Order: sequence, then structure tokens, then C-alpha cells
Amino acid sequence: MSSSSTTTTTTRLLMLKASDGVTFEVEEAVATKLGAINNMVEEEGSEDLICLPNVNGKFLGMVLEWCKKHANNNTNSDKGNDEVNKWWDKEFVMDLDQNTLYHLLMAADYLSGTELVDLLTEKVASMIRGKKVEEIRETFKIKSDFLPGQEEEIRKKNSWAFE
Amino acid sequence: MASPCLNEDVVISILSKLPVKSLVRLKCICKSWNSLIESPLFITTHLNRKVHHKDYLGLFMSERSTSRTHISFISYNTMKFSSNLILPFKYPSIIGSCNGLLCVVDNKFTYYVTNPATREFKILKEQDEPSADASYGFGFDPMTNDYKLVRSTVAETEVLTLKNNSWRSILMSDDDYSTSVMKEVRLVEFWSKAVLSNTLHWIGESSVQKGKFSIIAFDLIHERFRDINIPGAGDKDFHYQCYSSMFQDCLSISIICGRTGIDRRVEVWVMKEYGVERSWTKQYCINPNSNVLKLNQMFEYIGVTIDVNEPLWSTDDLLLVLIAVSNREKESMVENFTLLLQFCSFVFNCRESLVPID
Repeated sequence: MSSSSTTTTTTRLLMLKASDGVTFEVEEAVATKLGAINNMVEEEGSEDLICLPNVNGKFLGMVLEWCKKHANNNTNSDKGNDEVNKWWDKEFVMDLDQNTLYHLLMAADYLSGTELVDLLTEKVASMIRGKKVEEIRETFKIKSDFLPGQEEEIRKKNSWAFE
Repeated sequence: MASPCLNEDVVISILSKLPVKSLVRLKCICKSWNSLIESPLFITTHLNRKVHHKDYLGLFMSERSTSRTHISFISYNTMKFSSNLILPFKYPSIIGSCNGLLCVVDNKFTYYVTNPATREFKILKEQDEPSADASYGFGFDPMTNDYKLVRSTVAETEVLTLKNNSWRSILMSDDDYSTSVMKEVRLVEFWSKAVLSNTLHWIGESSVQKGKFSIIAFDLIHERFRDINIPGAGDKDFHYQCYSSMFQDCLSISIICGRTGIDRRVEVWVMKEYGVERSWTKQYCINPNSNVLKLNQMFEYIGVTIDVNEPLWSTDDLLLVLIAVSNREKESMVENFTLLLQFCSFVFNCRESLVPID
């Protein structure tokens, strides 16, 4: 997670400042993969320092790492890029622990990184598939707010889904 | 949202990636998930997400020993049988499949609509004068936000709307185009397999010129017929039989051409741009060394595939299935289909959905 640029194309550099003060220097073409930053650049034009008070440095760094990989892959020859991106996406989400995944997802959502949100929500969905209701409540830290009997009723009505 | 950190958009994005069975279970996580999963917005989002794991090939299988029929579902994602649904009525025929809902008629002319994924079920209003010689279609009308079952005979066309559950005849005046389209045509397909652009489609054969086929389209919004020329209609070539279907979300038609066994071949055409006749593109031309019976049989299968990437050949000329299967799985699929053929009466495509019936 560094601010150095590895591509040879010369584009404008943006300075992104996270909530904890950590800053990242990123090429405009990379940062504007994020809808929110793209909007800020378009609206504020010449502004080179963008403050992001809702994302901390750790997760902003991870989001930018993802953007950079995708931007780099897409500037290379076009054939096989999808495959490379897919492979890299798989690696990216493979070992994410639940806490990191959540914060990353919030950061990606806040920054309007649509593709990244899609990737991360797919990861969360894969963690839900086949899990029991109790396990999912635990995973999502959700407390049941049904009145006594209500949950039973839903279960009874849809008993086939619980087989 | 009950989850402290994820906003509703993100939760919708997560849940829309899950299969129906999981979602039904998730209704008892908490109140807000329950109402989210049941909301029309979520149901539509979930339905329209293009993911392979929601698409199935359904086969009506008769059980000789019990005289019952069940539907076997094969997942396009895994190419494996995923589930069975026993139909609680005798000798059912499929008359429509749209947005995860399935319409069925039994031998007593009772009509049913079911969502196999949620196991919801509804008996539709019976008709006063059932006719064995009708063609059917089932689709969605976005203007009324309702599903319509269409029944068409030479004499008249009727529509049943799901919410009202009542039949009404479509008035036809003598001078409009919709009426004239239907005047000298007989629908030769029992049900509409190609439902796209809010329109049902059947193959129609001219009642004055045998062997002259066209596609008859029925617009579900305006409830009007129109005809679409099939490719090569002006040629001298003899068209033995046609089947309409879908090919990668496009309207398609399979035409069996040629008078004799040697000349006979099968052309699969795709209308790349819906409604534009010059966009008909020949996708395949197959000359199988097979007799007519076998050709008909195999085309029942080609007629239903949606996501065809390449033709699949079996060397024993018993069966050719055009279906999206990865290479390593093709052989076992051919074997499976050969077995299934003997017991199967209808094949259709469907997508798993949460769409409610009422």
C-alpha cells in the first residue's frame, strides 16, 4: 500500500487523505474508478487534496490497491484481462477476515466503488449460503426482534426451506 | 437496517445473490430482513440479477407406476439435478413459464400457476368452454404490473389476468390489423416458449397455403397480434416444420427444411435485434443423417435452450442437444438426456424467483 506509481503513463496525481490522517498519492485515472472521487474531481476540478473523513487509512489503502490492480490490468493488452482480473479478485477476497471484509465493504460503498462492492457482497453471500439462521445472526451481529411466536410461524409456514 | 454497519443497499446487494431457499430461511433473521425479502423492489432486483445459478431446465417426467407427473430441474450452473417437484394433478401440460412462475393445465382443463421455488400454488378460474385445440402463452404486463395467461383458438382469443383471476375475450373488429393477422393463420405451437419484450410468440401456419409459416406475436400490453416474417420465407425451399424459442435472450427459430431425408437439414436463426427482420442471422445449419421422427424429437430439445454457446453432438445420431455445457460434462449430459427422453413429456426453461402469485 504505497503511494508510488508503477505505470508509465503520465497522469495527474491526487492526494487522498483518510480519517486518521494517512495520505495516499494516486493517479487520477486510478482514483476515479471510485464514483465518489470521480464526482469530487469533476465538481471541484483543480482540488488536488481530497479528504475522506469516513474511511481510515488501512481500508482506503486496500480499496486503492484494488483500483490500481484493475486499472493496470486494463491498460495492458485487452485479451485475457477479464481472466487476470477474476484471478486477482479471487486472491483479494480469499483470506479476508470478517471484520476486515465488513469495513472494506463500508469503505467501498462510501466511495461508490460499484465493482468492488459487487465483489465483496458476493464474498459475504458465499459466507451466508448454507448457514443456519442462528449462525447468520451471529455473523451479522443481528438480534431477533420478533415477538414470541412470530419466528415460529414463519418457520412453520416455510418448513420445506429448513429441511 | 438491523445490521449496525451495513446500509440497506449493501444488504440488498448481498441478499440478491442468494438462492430462493436461503432467502426464505433468512426471513426469520429479523423483522427488517423479513420485510425486505418480501418487498416488491427486492423481488424485482433478485429476479433481474443475471446469474447462472438461478437458471434451470425443467423436465416434465411421467411416473408410470403412479400415473403422477413430477418436474425435474437441472441447474444450468452445475448441470446436475437440483430438485424435483411433484405436480398434484393428472396428465399436466405446461402452458407457460415466465419470471419463475409456471402455468400448467391438466386433462380436465383446470389451470394452475405455481412458483416451484417458493412452492406457492394457485388454481385459476376455469373456462366456460374449454377447447382442446387452443394455444397458450403466459407473460408479464409491466403496465398493469400483472401476469397474463392467453388462450387462443381459431374462433377467439381470451386473456386471464392473475390478480383478477377472470377470463375476458379480446374484442376484435373487422378492420384492424391485429384481427387480419389472425384471420388466415393457425397457431401450430401449443405454448409460447419465446417470451420477450412483453410479447408472446408462436409459430403460425397459413390456413390457405400449407407450409407457409410465420411468427405470430402477441403484445401483452396492448393485447394485439402482429406477424413477423421468418427468414428465407420467400425462398422456394420447403419448410417442413418450425419451432420458436429463445437464444441468448433473443427471439430464435429452428426451421426443418428440405423435402426428403437427404435434403433435410435444420437451420437455427436468431433475430439479433428484436422486431428488425433484417437482423435475422443464421446461427447453425445442421444436416443430420437421421430420420424425421428423430429430428422432431431432438428439436423439441433445441427448441427450449436459452443459453446456447455451441452445438453438442452425439455420434449415435439419437440425440443432439444444443445446450450450454462445459466440455468435460458434455458426454454425461448426452447420456442423461438419452435416458430422460423416454419418460419426458415437456421441457422448458425457467429462472428461480421469489415472485408471489397473489
